[in-house]
Amino acid sequence: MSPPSAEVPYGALDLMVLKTLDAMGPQHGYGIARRIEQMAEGMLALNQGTIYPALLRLEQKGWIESDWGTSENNRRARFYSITRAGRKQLALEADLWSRTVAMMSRMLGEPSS
Amino acid sequence: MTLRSALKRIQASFTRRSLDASLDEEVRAHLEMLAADHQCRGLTPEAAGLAARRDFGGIEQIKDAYRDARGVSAIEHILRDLAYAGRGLRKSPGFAVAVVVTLALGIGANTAVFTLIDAISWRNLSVQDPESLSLVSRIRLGRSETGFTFPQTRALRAVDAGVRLAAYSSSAFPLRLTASVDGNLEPPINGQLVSGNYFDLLGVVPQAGRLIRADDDRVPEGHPVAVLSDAYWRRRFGRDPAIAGKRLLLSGRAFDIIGVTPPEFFGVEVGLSPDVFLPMMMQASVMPVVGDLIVKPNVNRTWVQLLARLEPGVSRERASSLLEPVYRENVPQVPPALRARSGAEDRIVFTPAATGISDLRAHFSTSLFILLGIVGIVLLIGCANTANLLLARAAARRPEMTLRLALGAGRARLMQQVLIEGLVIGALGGLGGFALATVLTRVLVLYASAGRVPIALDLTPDLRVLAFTIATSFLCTVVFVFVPAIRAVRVEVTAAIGSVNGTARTLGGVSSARLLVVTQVALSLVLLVGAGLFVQTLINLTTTDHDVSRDRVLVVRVEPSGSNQRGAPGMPERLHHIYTALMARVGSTPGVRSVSMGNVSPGKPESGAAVAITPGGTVGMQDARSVDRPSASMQAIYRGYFATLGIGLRGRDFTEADQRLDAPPVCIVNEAFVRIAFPDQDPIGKTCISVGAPRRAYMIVGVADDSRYSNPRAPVQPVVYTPFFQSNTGRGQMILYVRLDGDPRAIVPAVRDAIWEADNSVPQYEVRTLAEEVDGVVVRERLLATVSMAFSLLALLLTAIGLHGLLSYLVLQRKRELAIRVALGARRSGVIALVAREAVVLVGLGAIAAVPLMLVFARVSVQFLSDVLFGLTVDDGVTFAAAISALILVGGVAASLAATRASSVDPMVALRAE
Repeated sequence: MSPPSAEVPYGALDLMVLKTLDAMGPQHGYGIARRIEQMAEGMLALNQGTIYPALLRLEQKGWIESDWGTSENNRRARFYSITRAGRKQLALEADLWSRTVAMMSRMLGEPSS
Repeated sequence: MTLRSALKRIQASFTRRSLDASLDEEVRAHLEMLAADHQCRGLTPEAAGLAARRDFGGIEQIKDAYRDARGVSAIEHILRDLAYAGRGLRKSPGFAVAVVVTLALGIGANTAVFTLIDAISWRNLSVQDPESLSLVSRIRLGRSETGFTFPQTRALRAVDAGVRLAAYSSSAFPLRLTASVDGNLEPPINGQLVSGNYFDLLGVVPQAGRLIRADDDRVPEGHPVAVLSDAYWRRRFGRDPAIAGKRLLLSGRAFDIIGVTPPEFFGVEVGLSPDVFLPMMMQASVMPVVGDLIVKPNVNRTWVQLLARLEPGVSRERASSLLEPVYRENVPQVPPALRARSGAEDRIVFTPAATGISDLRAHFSTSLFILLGIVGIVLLIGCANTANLLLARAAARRPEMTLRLALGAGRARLMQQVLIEGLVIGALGGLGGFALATVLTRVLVLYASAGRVPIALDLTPDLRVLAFTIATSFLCTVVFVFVPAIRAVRVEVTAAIGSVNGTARTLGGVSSARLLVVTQVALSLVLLVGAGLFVQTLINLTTTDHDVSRDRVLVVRVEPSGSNQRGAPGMPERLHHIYTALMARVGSTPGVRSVSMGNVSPGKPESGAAVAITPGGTVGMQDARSVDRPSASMQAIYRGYFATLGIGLRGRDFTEADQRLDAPPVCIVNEAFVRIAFPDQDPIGKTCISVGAPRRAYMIVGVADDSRYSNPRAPVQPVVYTPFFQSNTGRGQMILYVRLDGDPRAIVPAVRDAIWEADNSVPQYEVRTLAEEVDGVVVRERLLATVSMAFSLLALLLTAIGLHGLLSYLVLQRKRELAIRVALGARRSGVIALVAREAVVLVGLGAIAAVPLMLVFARVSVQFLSDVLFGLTVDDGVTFAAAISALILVGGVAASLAATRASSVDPMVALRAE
């Protein structure tokens, strides 16, 4: 039985949030969660709430920052945006991630000799 | 964790509440937006809300994870415990006040005594580089003295010994000055004479005007300038910025004020605070009584002290070896025989003086350390009480603790909560104590200042005092919280859970509480005995003369000009004339019963010329010279002396005829004299012979009771009283004694006026009662007796509270049992006996435990105590008996209160409550 969606790998959620903010500019939590779900195209079992601890972690590290603003339908919401340090971190982790993926697919793609 | 996120998390720990609110809002917004989207996709509002919750995940779990990641849980727990402790204390204000006040009293008393010890003994002078200062003293015939004559200091200061020397007038020659500004007579002030380089050597910088310089101290009587202390400037001149140039009349001579010393400068003698500093050269103007000691020095008047600042690289030994030869040249030769007997050569010694110079140190430091011991024990007793109260609280809270443990709370977490509560109490007690100490210190100083000159000390708490208070508070907390903390968490869940709703029936904590109460009893017994010893000492010192009306006798020092030169021709007659006029004038003042004069006063024994004691009156004129013969001190008095002072007299008093210049010599002796000279004989009518010149044979006309008022601490000495003209003393200063009928305060002004009218050349000195005079002499003993008594009573009270608390607790624990007993027909007396037995056991154990404690205490302190005890030893039976009775009495009261409550248990009510 192959599950329709996977748990989010450790650390991946942080990276997704950073990428989302980098790509879309300032977003509130719901916006970020929706975007991640869209991008995952149903492959991810994401409890939307779990992005909040992730946002907190990122903010504590200084990679994102937040401010209160008004959402598209006039609600008070907290908007997050990526910082310069965050962009640097994103570049770093994206690189690391793609190398890991490349390595993993090499290992899995080539049957052992 | 990086530093940045660590800081954010710590910050978050302290802003928990507002952060929680903002998270709530954020989550709510998220859910609403999510639900709105679901609705757009066609769901009903209810279904949309449910779907949103499903998509979001467990809201509370997310919040918890969020909170854990946000702050530091340890900090949050501590903050929560602090808030909890504060709430707990607010909810039982009686408990909080009792505990905090007990601790504050204990910590405050300890801090106050410590502040005094610090101020007297350890604090450096506020001068430049105090470490390189020394006091110069001399050792002559094996005795160390600090005073020099003026010519000696001049010779020593001229030596190039790698050391700078400054001079100031010794406190043994106190400078009490009558001051007058703008023509008004004012209360007397204290002065000090200083050499021209004094301020320069100390590195003191004026806060206004300038200080005394070398130029101000060149010509005898030539520099009428004065520097004010900050305190006097503030007190008298309201910090007038234009003070320099104003005039001040000191003992009749005008001085120009030139400047003010800084507020932190009190001179170099700790406890003395001169109001004015004057150039040394002005000595004769302001010390008229001793004469001009600069132009006509007297080798016996060593009134100058030397302060030295060593230059870098010069050792104290080297400096003194260079000064010694000069000192030896400038000091009178000692007869070789005497020199051979006492051995030692004259020497000069440098003593470090960074903390200043102090007689207070020698006089009070033993007493202060004893006081510190006493208040330390009181604090321990207070801690034991606090521990007991906390134990009772822990017992009351046992169901809660049990429940929390059963629900999975960590024991460490529960212990932390108890510890935090202890810390809060300790901190509050420490704060209260610190505040209280500032008041207590001043009270203690005021109390100790009952002597001649008020004690002025720098009492602003320094770091040492602060550290002491904090350390004491912390130590207390550890002591009183330790047992309760252990007990609080040593709860057996299964055993105690059954009684969650009822009163806890397991008697956990009672044995520790018993131990604490026994300790309290033992400690307070030790304190009571100590206090008893000090009180006995004070009583021995002050009541030997059996005179109950000391506060009705005024003591006035009168020193008419010339009274120091009695030897001058015509002077005795002049003085006698002044004195008789004075006595007549004061004696006729309404409210005065009798008046007399004498040349001795409490605390200032004036050993007049000696009189040979003639056993059986058999010694002839020629034999009286013998050196080995015991001698008595001779005191000059006027008639009515014994009646005025309340000293018993048999035989007769002097008469007007005896007081004349040409009267045949008569004397009155005291009982001590009679015991040595005329054992088993009636001395009246016999003679005794004075040793000095002129040698006279005095006929004994009366015998006075022994009186130790002139020096309470020494055993009674043989005394020969003679009329003023017939005494051999070279000095003529007399003290006026006035016995009053009524309240002294009402009559003092009239007496003052009478003195003024009789002779306005007599300086106006303070008028005090004899009681105040004696108190001034025994100030140390009175301080020890009063403070130790006050604190041992406090200790006793605390112990009684502890005992009563424990007994009540025991009664409460056994309420059900007692109720059943009573219901089954037990008599109430049986119930009372139960409580009484417990009380007797506790007090008895405490008393037994106190014995070894006291033995150790006596062993350790016998040296200190024999210093401060008078007329009794450490193992004084009366004191012990009194202390034990006091303890039994108080224990009895505490026990009977608890027993009454126990016996009033109504079986119906008690059992129905179950």
